[in-house]
Order: sequence, then C-alpha cells, then structure tokens
Amino acid sequence: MRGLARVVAMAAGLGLAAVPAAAQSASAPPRVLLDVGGTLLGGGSLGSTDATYTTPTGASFTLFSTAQSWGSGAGVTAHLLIRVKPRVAFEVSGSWTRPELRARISGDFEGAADTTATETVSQFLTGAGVVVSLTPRGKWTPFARGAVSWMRHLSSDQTLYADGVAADLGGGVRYAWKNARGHVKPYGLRADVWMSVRSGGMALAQRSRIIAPGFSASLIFKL
Amino acid sequence: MSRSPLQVRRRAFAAFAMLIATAAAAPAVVSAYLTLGTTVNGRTVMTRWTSMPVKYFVTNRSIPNVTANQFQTVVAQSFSTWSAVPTATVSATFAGFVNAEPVRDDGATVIGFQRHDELERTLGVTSFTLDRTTGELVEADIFLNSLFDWSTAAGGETSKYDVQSIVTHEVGHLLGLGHSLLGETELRPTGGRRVLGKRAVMFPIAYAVGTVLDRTLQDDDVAGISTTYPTSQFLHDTGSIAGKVTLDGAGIFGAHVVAFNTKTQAMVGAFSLTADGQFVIDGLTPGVYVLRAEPLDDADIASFFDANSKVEIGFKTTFHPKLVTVPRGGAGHAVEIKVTRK
Repeated sequence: MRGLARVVAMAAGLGLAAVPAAAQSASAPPRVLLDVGGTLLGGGSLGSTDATYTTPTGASFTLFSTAQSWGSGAGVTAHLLIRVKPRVAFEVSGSWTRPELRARISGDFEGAADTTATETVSQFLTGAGVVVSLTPRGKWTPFARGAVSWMRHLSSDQTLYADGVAADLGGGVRYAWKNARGHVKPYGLRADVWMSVRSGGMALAQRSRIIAPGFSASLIFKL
Repeated sequence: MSRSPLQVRRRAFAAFAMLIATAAAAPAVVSAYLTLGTTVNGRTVMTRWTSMPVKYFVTNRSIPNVTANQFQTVVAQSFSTWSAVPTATVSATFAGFVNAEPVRDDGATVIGFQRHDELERTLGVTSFTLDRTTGELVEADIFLNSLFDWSTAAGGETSKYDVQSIVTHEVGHLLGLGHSLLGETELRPTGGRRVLGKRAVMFPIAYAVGTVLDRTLQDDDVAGISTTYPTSQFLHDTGSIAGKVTLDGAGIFGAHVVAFNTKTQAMVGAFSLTADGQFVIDGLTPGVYVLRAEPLDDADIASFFDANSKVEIGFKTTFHPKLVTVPRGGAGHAVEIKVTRK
C-alpha cells in the first residue's frame, strides 16, 4: 500500500503543478484527470518442470513433476491523465495486486499426495503510456491505450524481490457525469480492459513471460 | 566413510558417529546435506581442514589394469573436480608416492588400493584423524578395495568400476562431507541395493560398473562443499531455508528435506538433525522452492547416522503446501513441514 500511496501522491503533485484547473473552461475536456479504483489482473501458465535424478545409463528419472502458473490477482490502481492534444493524453499509472504463484506437484515416485504449493506475491506496476480518445458519444468517451510498466514482485515475507516489465494494449471508456469545478472533484467513471504481456519478476520456471487480460474500474477526479 | 556397490556396509567411523550424537543434542543444527562435525566445548563444529592446500600422498602400488601413475593422475583429477567449484576455497597438492598403507594413523594423508575380502560390498573407505579440541581434520586416508575390478579409461569400461567416480566420492568425505540422500534405490533379490537414479556424487551407493557419471558434481555436492569452505561471494549470493519437520505435532529426527528450484531444476537436500526436527538447507540460489520431506528409506541408515540414533522413517513423503522463497544472503521465515504416519 505504501507503494501505491507514493504513486498517487506523485501523480497528484504532478497534476497540480502542471495545470491549474481554474484555467480550464467549463465546456472543454479537463486537461488533467486522476482516477483511482480497483483492478483485476489475469494469470497464466508458466510451463512445467520435472525434478529428476539420473539413471545409471544417463537417462532422466522423474522424482516428481511440477506445473507452474500465476493466478489472477485483485488490487488497486491509479492513473494520472495529462491531455497534450485534444484527443491525445500522456498517462502515468501504478497498481498493486496480490497474485498467487502456484506449483502443481504431481506424480511423486514415492507416492506423496499431489499438492498445489502456493506463494502470494505483492505485484507493483508503475509505468507510462498514451491514451487516445475516440469520438465522444454523449457523456461516454471511448479510448484506446498503450502503456509500458516496470514491475516488482515482493514475497509475502518481504525477504525476496524480483523485477520485470509489462506492456499493455487495450481500451476503455470514460463516463463524465458532470462538469466538476475546482480542485479534486469527482468527475466520472472509467473502465479499462487490456491484454498484458508480463515478463521477468519472480520466476518459477525458465519461461517467465505470460500474456493475460486485465480489467479495472475507477473513479475519476478532475484536478 | 564406506561406499558400496550393492549395500552400504555397517561401518561406524568415529567422526561420523560424533556428528550425529552431538547434532541430536545441540541447539543449532549442522547445515545442509551431511557435513561432518564434532563437539568442541559443548558446541557442534564442522569437521574440516583449516588450512589449504590439503597435502596428500598416493600409495606406490599398482593393481591389475591400474598402475600407480594412472591412479595418481585420476586422484589429482578428482581433487581438481572439487577445487574447481568456484564458490568454495578448496585446493590440494600431491606430495609424492609412498609405500605407506592408507588408513594408518601416521599424520600423512594417503590414498591407495587395499584388498579387503571381508568388505565384499565396499568399494572405498575414508577414515579421519581429527583434533578434538578444534574439530580440525589433521589426516584423512582413502583406500579403494582392490577386491573389485577397476578402470581409469576415459569413458569407463564394462564390468569395471570407474576409479575417478569413486575417488571423487571419497575425496568429498576427505574434505568433510557426509552422505547425501538424493537418490532412489531398489532392493536386489540377492541382497544390497541397486541405484534407480540419483543426483549427488555423495549418495552412498555407487552406480553400476562401467558408469562414469559420478565424475561430475551435482548441485547438492556443490552446495555442500561451498558451505563447508565458503568464499565470501558464496555467503553473499546464496540463502537458506530453515524450519522443522513434525509428525503428530512433535519434531522428528532424520527426515530428509529436499529443496527443488523449479526454475533452475537444482535440488539440494538436508536432514532434520535435532530432536525437535530442525533442519537448515544452506547454499541455495535466491528464488522460489518446492520443499519435499521423505523418510530415509533408500539407503542403510548406518551410512548416514549412528546406529543408536532414533531416525524416524515411519512417515509418508510429503510436500510442503507453501512455496518457499530464499533471499540473497539470508533466510526467509522458518517453515514447518507436517508429515503423517504411513
């Protein structure tokens, strides 16, 4: 949560310093928007690995097999949107989720019961991207979005961390329910869906890249 | 320490027996695999050489198919295998040929062949002399049993045991390592055990004749020697898993715990070495591990522990339901592996 707090604080600070909200007209789309909400990141398979011994002929002798995967993880997210052209905005974002790293263990030579061993990991993502707004339909504004993020995984006992990267491509919609005035006023809602390629981080397998969907819903504030 | 092609012969060596007796009572467990230890002033210390290089002699005696020079060359290669481990500070020097027998308390470390008809299942033996005030090794002798047929051929020879493989195992003992349990065996109808598969040179039962696989150290061997003679970089770069194995809520002695890194496929094992079931697996690459606890049922208990030790083998092989993370230079939270009766 501290990581998220830093992201939000940084985002709010940037927004306030960049554009005084009072300079905007009531009818123009706001230049700086901050949204905070919940997110769900999908998981995926990381492949399988066998624990093996070597037979007298040099062949592999499987002691047990494992299949590794990331589970989905829910958490919180925030985006700071800074409009640089009428339909183009630069965005910085951050999220914190708690996916589960899993190893399904089976086929033990000595008959140990099949088990799924797990570790819940804190996953922090912070990145930057571009949002292109499409033609508004009333109070609904659809958009497309692409972003690249730096990713950190932290073990539940906070003794092990590993870093990676993520790239997102997707879109969503903003719903402006009113023309808010002044600083930090609720402005509307935002929903995003995307596909994410995540690579690196805490790895359970030689392959660490997964492609997974993501979803978020958040409350927009006009800064 | 003896090594058998068929079955480990019951042969108790003072240093090894001391390790078990003291480790079972000491509050701090001896580290991963089995390293040899002794009690000094009431605390368990690792039995090891305190100065390098280890100076060794080779018996100037040939046997059929292996000359003394061939034997010395292979012994040097075996020492080189251990000294090549980059995370350990091990070195050895050949001091010359001698007529002295190995296994004599003469202050000289001697390696050679001896014929022991009574050891019909023992390929090699390592014996030690140590300073009981410090735990320091002062002499270690190795003999290979010339009752068997031996070969130094580069690729091994059918129906002959590979000298380099067996010497590499015995040199591991000479340097202070005990046996590893990373292997599976089956009982032979005629007695003894046959290796189905293994993942450690220090497994107590040798591969069959003609096999040269034990010339190459495995992850468990490397972790063991590096923990015994660590470089500063090794201590900085690797971590540990510590915990205990319990049965019906009580700790058990002698449970074998294996840490498996699903990313690197490395396997390193250790035993619970206290009455309350504590174990430590050192020398692990930082990462995420699967933990598996199993009873000591793939080799003779006497090749690991003193015959009087109360080794618990009446439990089912069990996986820990949590993945365990290993940080660099330390250990994560202690784990408890709960096993159930067979």
